[in-house]
Amino acid sequence: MTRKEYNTAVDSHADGLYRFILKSMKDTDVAKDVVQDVFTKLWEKHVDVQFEKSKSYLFTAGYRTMIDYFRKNNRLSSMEDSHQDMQQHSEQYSDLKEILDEAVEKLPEVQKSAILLRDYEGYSYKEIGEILDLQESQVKVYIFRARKFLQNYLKSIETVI
Amino acid sequence: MNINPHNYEAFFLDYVEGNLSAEVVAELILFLEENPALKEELDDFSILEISSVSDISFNKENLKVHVNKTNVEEFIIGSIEGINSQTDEEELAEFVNTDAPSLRLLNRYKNTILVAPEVNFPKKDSLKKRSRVIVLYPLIGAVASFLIFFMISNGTEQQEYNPQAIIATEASSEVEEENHFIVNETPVILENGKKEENNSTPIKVSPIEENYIAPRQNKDLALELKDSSEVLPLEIETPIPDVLIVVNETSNIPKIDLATSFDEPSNSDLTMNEWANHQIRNKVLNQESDDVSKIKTAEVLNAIVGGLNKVSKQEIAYNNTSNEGYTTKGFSVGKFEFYRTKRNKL
Repeated sequence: MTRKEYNTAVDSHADGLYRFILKSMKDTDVAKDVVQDVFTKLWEKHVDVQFEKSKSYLFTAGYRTMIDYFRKNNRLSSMEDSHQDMQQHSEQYSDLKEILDEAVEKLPEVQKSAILLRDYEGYSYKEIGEILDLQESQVKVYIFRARKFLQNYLKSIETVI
Repeated sequence: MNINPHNYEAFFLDYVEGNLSAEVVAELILFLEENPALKEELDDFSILEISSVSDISFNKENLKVHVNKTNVEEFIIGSIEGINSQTDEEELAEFVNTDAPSLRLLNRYKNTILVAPEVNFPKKDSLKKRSRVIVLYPLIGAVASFLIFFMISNGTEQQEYNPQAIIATEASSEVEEENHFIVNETPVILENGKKEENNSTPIKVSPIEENYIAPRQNKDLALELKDSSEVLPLEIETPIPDVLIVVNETSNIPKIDLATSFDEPSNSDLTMNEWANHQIRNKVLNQESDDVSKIKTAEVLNAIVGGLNKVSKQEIAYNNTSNEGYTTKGFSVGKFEFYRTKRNKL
C-alpha cells in the first residue's frame, strides 16, 4: 500500500472505524486513541497490507485493541454471550433510535460487534468472522440472537407503553 | 474343476449367468446329485433377480419447509439479513399478509436494523502521512551551502582583516551632498566699469562619487608583514578639484579607478575558475611545480579556498595533515569546522 493509498484509507475508513469503536467503548478519548493506534499500526505495516484489505485490517486491529482494553479494565464480563436484564430500561423515550441504542448497549460485546459490523459497515458473515476471529456459522448465530434480543426488547417496550 | 462345499457359490452364480461350459455344468449337476440340500439353494439363487425401481416415485415437496406460525420468525430474520431465496420471500410475504401477528413481528424486526449515525473522526488529517523529501547532500554540499550563505549575508558588510589584501577606501568628498551650490567669488565687472561686491550667480558643484577599491593582491607587502595586526586599511585622500566647474548637469567628473593602475587584474573581476587557474599558472611560472598535472589535489583545494576567502571575506581554511597512519582533512568557515580522519592504506 502506497502513502497515497494509506491516506485514501484514512479518508474512507477513519470515520467508520471511529464509529464502531466509539459505539462499543462509549468513551470518545479512548476511541480516538484506539483509532490513532490502529492507523499507526497500519502505517507500520503498509508495505505488507494491500489497499483492498486495509478496511478489514483496520477493523480487525481495532476490535483486538478494544478487547485488550476491556481485559485491562476488567470489562471482560461484557464479552460473554449473555444478555443483560431486558426489564431494566428507562421509562422515557423520545424515539425508536433511542430505544434501540439502549437495547444495543445491553447486548453482549461479541453480539454487539457482530451486528454493528453487519448493519453499520455491511460486512458479510465471512468478513465479520475474520474480524472477530469466529466461524461463519458462529457469526450467523450471534447475529440471529442479537436480532431476536432487539426485537424482544422493542416488544417489551411496546408492552410497557 | 473341483466343485466342493467351499466354492460352490461361485459356480452357482456363473451357472445362473450362463457363464459355465458344458463340461463344468455336467460337473455341477453331478455335485448337486451328491448334495441334494444345495440343489434348493441353487433354485433360490436363480430367483434373486433385481427388479427395476424406476417406477418408484418420491414426493420431494413433502421434504420442503414452508412458512408457518412456528418458523415464521426464522424466515423474517432471514429476510432482514437478506439470505432468503426468492421463493422464501414470496412465501413469507404471502403468509404475513394473512397473519396479523406475523406482520407485527416482521415490522418489529425491521426496526432492529441499525442505522449508522453520522460520526466523524476529529482531526482526520493528523492520521495522514505527508510526503517527506529526504535530503542526502554530501558534506561538500553542506559546506557549499555555508559558503553561499556567508557570501550573501556578508557581501555588504565592512571588510575585515585579510592578510594578503590592502583595503583602499577613497575618502568621501568634503562637499556636502545636499548643498551643491557654493558662493561664486568670481568678480563681476559692471557696464560702468565698477566691480560688483557680490556675485549672485550660484555655482553648482557635482558631488564627487565614492569609489571603493576592492581588495587586491599585493604579494610584496604580504610577504613583508609578519604580524597581521599591522595591516591597516589605507585611506586614499580624495583630491579636491582646483577648478570649479560652472553649472553643467550633464558633466561628470571622471571616475577614479585605482585598480586599473596595477599590472595584475583585479580579483573582483575574476570568476572562481579564472582565479584558480591564475593561481596555478603563477605556481607553474614560479617553478614551484614544473608540471600542472602533478599539482596535488590539496594544492588545488588550497587555491580554491584562498579564492573563496577573498570572495566571501570569511576566514575559510583547508587543512590536510597526516600523522601516524591517519590523514585528517579539515575545512573551516569562520567558527565552523568540519574534520574527517581516515586511516591510511597500508
